[in-house]
Amino acid sequence: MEKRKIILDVDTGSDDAIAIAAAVLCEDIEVVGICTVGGNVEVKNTTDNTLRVLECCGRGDIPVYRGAALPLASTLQPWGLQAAVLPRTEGKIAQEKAVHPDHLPLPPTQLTARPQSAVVWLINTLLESEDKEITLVPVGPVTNIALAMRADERIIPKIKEIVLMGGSHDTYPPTQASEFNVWCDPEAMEILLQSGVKITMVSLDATGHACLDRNQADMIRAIGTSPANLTADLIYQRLKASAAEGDREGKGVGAALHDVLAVCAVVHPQVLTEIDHTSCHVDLGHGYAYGETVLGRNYKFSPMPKNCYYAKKADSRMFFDWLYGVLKE
Amino acid sequence: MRKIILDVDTGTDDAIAIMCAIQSPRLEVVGICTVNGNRGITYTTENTCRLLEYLGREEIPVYKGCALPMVSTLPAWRRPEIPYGGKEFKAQEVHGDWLDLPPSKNKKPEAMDAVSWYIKTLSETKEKITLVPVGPLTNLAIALRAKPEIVENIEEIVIMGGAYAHGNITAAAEFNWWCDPEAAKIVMDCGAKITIVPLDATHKALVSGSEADEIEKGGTKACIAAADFIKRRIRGYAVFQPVGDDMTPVHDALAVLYLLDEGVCEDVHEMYVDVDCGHGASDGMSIVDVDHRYEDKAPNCRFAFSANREKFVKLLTEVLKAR
Repeated sequence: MEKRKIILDVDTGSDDAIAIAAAVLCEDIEVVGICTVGGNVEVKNTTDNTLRVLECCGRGDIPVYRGAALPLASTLQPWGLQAAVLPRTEGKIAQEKAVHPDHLPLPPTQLTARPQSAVVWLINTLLESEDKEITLVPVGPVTNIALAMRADERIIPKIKEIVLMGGSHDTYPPTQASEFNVWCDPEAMEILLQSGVKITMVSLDATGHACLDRNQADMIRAIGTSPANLTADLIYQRLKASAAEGDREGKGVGAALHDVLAVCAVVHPQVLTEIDHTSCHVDLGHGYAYGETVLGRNYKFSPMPKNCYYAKKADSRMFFDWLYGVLKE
Repeated sequence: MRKIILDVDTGTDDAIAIMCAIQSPRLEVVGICTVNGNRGITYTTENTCRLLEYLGREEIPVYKGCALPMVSTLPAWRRPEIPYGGKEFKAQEVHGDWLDLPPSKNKKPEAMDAVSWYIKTLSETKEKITLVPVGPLTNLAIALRAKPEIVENIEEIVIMGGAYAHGNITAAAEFNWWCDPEAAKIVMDCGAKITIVPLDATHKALVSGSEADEIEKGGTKACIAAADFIKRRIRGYAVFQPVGDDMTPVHDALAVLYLLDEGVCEDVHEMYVDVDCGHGASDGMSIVDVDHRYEDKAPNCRFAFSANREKFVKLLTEVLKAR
């Protein structure tokens, strides 16, 4: 099987870290480069954390490009919820109970990000690639890709597809209505959804089926490699954080590894067991639903073009087996 | 020589602004970025190229910029008119789709897009550069979001845009800021030294038909084209936005001439200026804090409330025939 060429776009981030490890260790995937973005933590930290993960995996050769610190427009209104939270600044969140600590539990690294900005590198790399050669896998706010699409429309037909972690419909998300990645930069996600590129949205509804429990974390730890240890540590950390938050996402049994499912779905699309080919748009209205992914359901009265493969469910067993297999290779 | 980058949506007044900049021996035009605005990006880019070819200045690089505003067109109902052009040609309109010059044969935009070039140029330059955006601020705002550090190499941003007591696309808003309000807000908050040349100033710097005749007598290619564009604008303004008998503003040119003589603008004050991005009736309006109601905000620009018409017309006439 020919390797799938992907560009990761991450806000590392505990589940981002496992997603990066799985992607760079998976034999079916070639990671062309990694762009970072502000989201779970500030972009300075998402970049440093990303480099630490690469060192942990022995893949310091993969280039990392620092991306946008701020969303396109969601923080421009000083009274808006996003402006109160973003940009993240180091030291603001209690680290003990954080889902995403400022610094991953890994030693500091000598690796550095490349000098080019993520947006310029994305544009260059896509323009120089063959048509439909590279798949984009953003698992944080999609700011970098949206900026690149606006800056140079010629990249749009180059993209093979976008498999992203984001959105929610039936799952109780952070702001009642919106999943975090979309909420951070609603306008950026809408730019992607209007771009015409094939988009698979690995939503919170699907990633709720990508939960790992302590037993599974212990099985992974028993593999004994650094990336396996990191994965086990981060699953424990996420379980602890879910408990601190009233077990909102853990459903009492495990920690959801949202971003990792998106990587898995690139090489094993069948892990997504229920997919709606539907119209999907983001609410940009600055009200309670700002950043909600709105799925088109009533085609009889308001027919909208189908622009999104919205994943609602995943095969938990297949997901764990894949992740375990990749870490054991 | 002051190094400048122009950012244009050419456009008849953009064309006159470009000619002022490249005719002046005191300005070095490092490059010209184009953007969607008065017309769609295909038009504004080709118009810029054909103007440079007409003037024999093909060596100045043109970088094709953003085809759409950052986010203002995302809800289909917020800016259904954008991008302009190719829909309904109005013979009397102040811009028209194509500048009335021969189509470009050789001059083409560079391979690199405007945003990438802004980032590259402002990252690598050893000397600070002045930016003169006279269209929507999309290119610069996207570059600032992609790499905020570029602000350190900006000498000054002289913007044609915004208005205190005027609106020229809605009752509330000036066209460039209305087109991309979020971009205007990002640029206004970026921390660079900023001078705003708004409608309040440009509507004081009117040029008459007989003054266009005088300009034409200067005899250079720039003089002849500029006179023609001014006359087109006078006809357009008479139909769509009367400003006085046989008169027209030449908005973008005032921003460039301000670089040569700050005296063309008058009543210039340090001011905090915000942009309404609220999707309502005043969407894209400039909020000029003349009464210091933004208590926690320091001034973010120098705002020109007026202009000196005589100085402007005199300088315009001189610069266009300079070479």
